[in-house]
Parts: sequence; structure tokens; C-alpha cells
Amino acid sequence: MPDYASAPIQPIVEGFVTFPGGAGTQPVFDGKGVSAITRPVGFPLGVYLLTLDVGLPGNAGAVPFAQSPLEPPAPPFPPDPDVRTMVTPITVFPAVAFVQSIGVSYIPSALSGVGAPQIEIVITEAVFLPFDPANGFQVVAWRGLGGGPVP
Amino acid sequence: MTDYAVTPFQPIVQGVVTFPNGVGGTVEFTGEGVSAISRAVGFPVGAYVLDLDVGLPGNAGAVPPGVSPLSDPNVRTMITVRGSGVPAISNIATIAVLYLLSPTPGVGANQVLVVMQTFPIALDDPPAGFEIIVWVVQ
Repeated sequence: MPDYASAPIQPIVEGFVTFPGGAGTQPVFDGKGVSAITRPVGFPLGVYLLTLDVGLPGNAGAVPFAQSPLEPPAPPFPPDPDVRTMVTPITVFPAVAFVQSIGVSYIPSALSGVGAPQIEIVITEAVFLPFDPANGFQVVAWRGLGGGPVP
Repeated sequence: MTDYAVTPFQPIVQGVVTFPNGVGGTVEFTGEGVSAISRAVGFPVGAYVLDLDVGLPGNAGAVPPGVSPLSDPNVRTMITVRGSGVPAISNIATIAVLYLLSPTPGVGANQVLVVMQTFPIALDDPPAGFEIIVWVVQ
């Protein structure tokens, strides 16, 4: 196969998030690259904070640092960090996910120079209300390497 | 590690699309594999045309030629919206991609059209932008 790989990416997270106790209970991450998963205070459904593994040479680590805040208050948002995340709900038979939208955001560490060691995922149902997909969801995060602005 | 990699594919685009001047404003791509980005003519929000880098040996290039309408341009695209607000909810309910053929014979599809809609269904920009990865498969 010709080598077209001009946009190198490396997987740093792969796994499933499920809710063994049912929707609204403690989420569980089963995979690699994540050391903890929690729900942010005040959001009992649909919002998840994944803490990345501590960075080690040659291993997954914090998302490269970007100017804070990556969260609101307002756009424009910095294009960094160099992470690309895929989130796919696991369907409920006969094949309905009930998902209206999926959003990701990267939460900077309070420690200078650490970067953004957490990924926030928000999943909503009709009228954009956060909810837990009953059978959970898959997540893969890649770190993108290099590149710059293209108008 | 056991080698399960029976479906070889290679990333040819990775990046983030943002709107430095806000929704409806300038659209910008930051990453690799794309030489230009613009809004589709006649669509002020929610439709973007990404020009792939010109093909070079060992570098990204046009999607292999296909028969229009393209059913298998050997490209797989992933798009994830960056949420905004607290919590960071995405306003986008549907996302679709289409590969646009070059009018030059043999060049293939050298553009990726990305379309996003909110709900109720209407074209819209995600304020915090979106991530995109494109792979070519064999």
C-alpha cells in the first residue's frame, strides 16, 4: 500500500464506558489510557470526565497544553489541544441510540505546564438534554502530530 | 501483541476546524492534510469544503478516482464536535460527508464536503468547532 500517512496520529485512549448500575449510576471505563472516570458535580446524567493516564515517556499522557480556557465563556476557542476524539454510543435493541448530540471538550489542569489531562464528553437526547445512553458508548482518542493553521 | 490489523488504513487528514470570528464567520482548519477550507457557496453556515493536499509521493493526495456518485472512494472520515457551554453540549444533531470529484480526469475526489445540522433540522456551525480525521483504506 502506498504510504499516504501524511497526517500522523497516535491512539492514546480506547475503551468502553458503561453503567453497570443503570443510567444515572457510576460510569465505568473499560479500556486503556484513562485512569479515572467521574461525573462532574451537578450533572447526574450525560456528562463524563475522563482523566488521562499520567504521562510517561512513550506512553499516553496529558493533552498538550493550550491556552486556557478551552471551555467557555466564548468562542473563539483555541484549536489546540492536538487531540481528536471519537465517541460512538452502543445501541439498544433493535438499534436505536436516542442520541441527539455528542460534544467533547478538554479540561486544562490547574498546574502550569501540565496541559489538559481530562476529556469531558457530553451526550444529549431530544432537546439537547444530557442523558446516559443505556448501553454505554465507545471512545477512542488520538493525538495528532504537527500541522498548522490553514485559512 | 497479536496482529489484528487486517484492515490497513492510513490517516491523511487530522485537524480541528474553528470559527475565529464566531459562528457564521471565517472558517479555519488547523492540522495536516488540508490545503484550503471554505464554506460551500450559498451556505453561510454548516457546510464546509476541505481541499486535500496536492498528492506527492509519500504524501497525502486526492482520494483515488471513483465512478460518480462515489460509493467507495476508499476514504473514511470521522468528525466529532467540540461542545460549548457548561456542560460543553454540542448543538449539532446530524453530520454528513461527501467526496467531491475533481473535473480533471484521473484526479479523483480532491475535496471533502462536510455538512452539519442542528435540531430542528437546519444548517448550523458548532461554536467550538469540530475535529476531523480522514483515513484512506485499501
